[in-house]
Amino acid sequence: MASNVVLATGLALILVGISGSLLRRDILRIVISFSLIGTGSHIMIVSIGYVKNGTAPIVDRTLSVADAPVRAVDPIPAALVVTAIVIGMAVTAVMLAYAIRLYDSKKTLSIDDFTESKW
Amino acid sequence: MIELVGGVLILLGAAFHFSAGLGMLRMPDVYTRMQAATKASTLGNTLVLAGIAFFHPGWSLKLIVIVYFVFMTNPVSSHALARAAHAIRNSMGRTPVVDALSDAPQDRQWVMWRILVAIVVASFGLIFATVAISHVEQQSLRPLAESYVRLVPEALRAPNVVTGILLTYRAFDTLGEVAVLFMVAAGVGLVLTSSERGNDDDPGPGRRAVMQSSEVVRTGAQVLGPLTAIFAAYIIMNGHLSAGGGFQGGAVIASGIVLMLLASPAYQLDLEFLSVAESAAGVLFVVSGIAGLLFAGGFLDNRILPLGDFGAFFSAGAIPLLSVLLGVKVGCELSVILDRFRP
Repeated sequence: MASNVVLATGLALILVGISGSLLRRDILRIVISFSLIGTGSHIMIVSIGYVKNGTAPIVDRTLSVADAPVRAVDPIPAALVVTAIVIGMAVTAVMLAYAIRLYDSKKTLSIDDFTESKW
Repeated sequence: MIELVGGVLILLGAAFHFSAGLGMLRMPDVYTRMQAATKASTLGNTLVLAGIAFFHPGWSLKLIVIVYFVFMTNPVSSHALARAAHAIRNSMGRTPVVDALSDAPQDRQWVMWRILVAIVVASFGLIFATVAISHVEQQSLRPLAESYVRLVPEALRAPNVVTGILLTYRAFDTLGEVAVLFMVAAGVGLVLTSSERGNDDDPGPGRRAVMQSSEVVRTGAQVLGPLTAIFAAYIIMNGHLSAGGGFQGGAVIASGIVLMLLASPAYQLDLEFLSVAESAAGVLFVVSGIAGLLFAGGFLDNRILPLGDFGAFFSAGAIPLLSVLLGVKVGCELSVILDRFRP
């Protein structure tokens, strides 16, 4: 049940990001929307790995080595998402660099003013 | 019989060509004339060539190629001509219902766009809802996950299963991701080359004279800077024992650098040192991977260093070393990327 709620939250964030990237006119807000899509998908992926009544897959005082295969949650989605977060940040950096160059060329941050490729 | 079909097709093509000519003569302005000429004559061409194919079946392939070229070039060139005509403000015969290329905002277009976006988001929402509803929580781990959770404390002697996966079992993906980060740093450096940006006369946002930062930020940085450095080192070194690791620590290093950049805007990062440190860390990462090939089970195997006692600080073989290298590389890379964004 808990992971269903988290999964729904992640998917809702992705929906917010999609609608934001389509409806916004300010370039920086579009970049934020893409970042929201990324965050939502990270949350979604981690929530898929939840095991009922499970705990973090780290062996310490609360989780012994023998108990780990029974009570730990899935570590693979967590490992994948660690990578994904860093790469998402890197992609956001590239998008912001492009936003800066677009501003330098037209002195405006509204995508309505970039009409050369408009069909 | 075949020739009859061919003849009918050629006749139809000729009829369309005739309507194209009639349209060019009778339409009121340049845009509608262009539409008549292009659409009707493209179809007429296609029908005539199809009709010829019935008379000379051996030429079919050549005729198909000609039809393809006509389809590619006719619409595209007339589109470009129409845009050029609009750009030099050729007049329209009557007031248009919708002028897609005009600069004035269009109310109808605004509403249509919103409706389209609503449809797209609603359909995504429907698909997502079926995913969210049909998701069943796992009762126990899947076989691969269970084997990882068993193997990492046993074979690698690392308490943190996620770090064990990231730095030994899936360490090749980590190496690939380090390569992606390097590519992004190079790309951002390319896009934001400061020599090109300095040539604009009009100062942009934040390109005014370097502002002195407020006392709150400066004092906060003085307090938090050393704390952030210690915290980053702790996270990196304890990656194999509790939650943490190279990526997380590298991100904390970069946030500490951002704090310093905010507190003293005139601070110049030693970019040469950062580049050398980052490259050295990357090279050492690959070298320890190759050492794994030579001295242990395979590429980036962690058994090149002694496995030690479970839960001790110096344990889990090469994982702490790889954590440190990863943390240094990610921290330097993110700092270099962030430095590019400064005016």
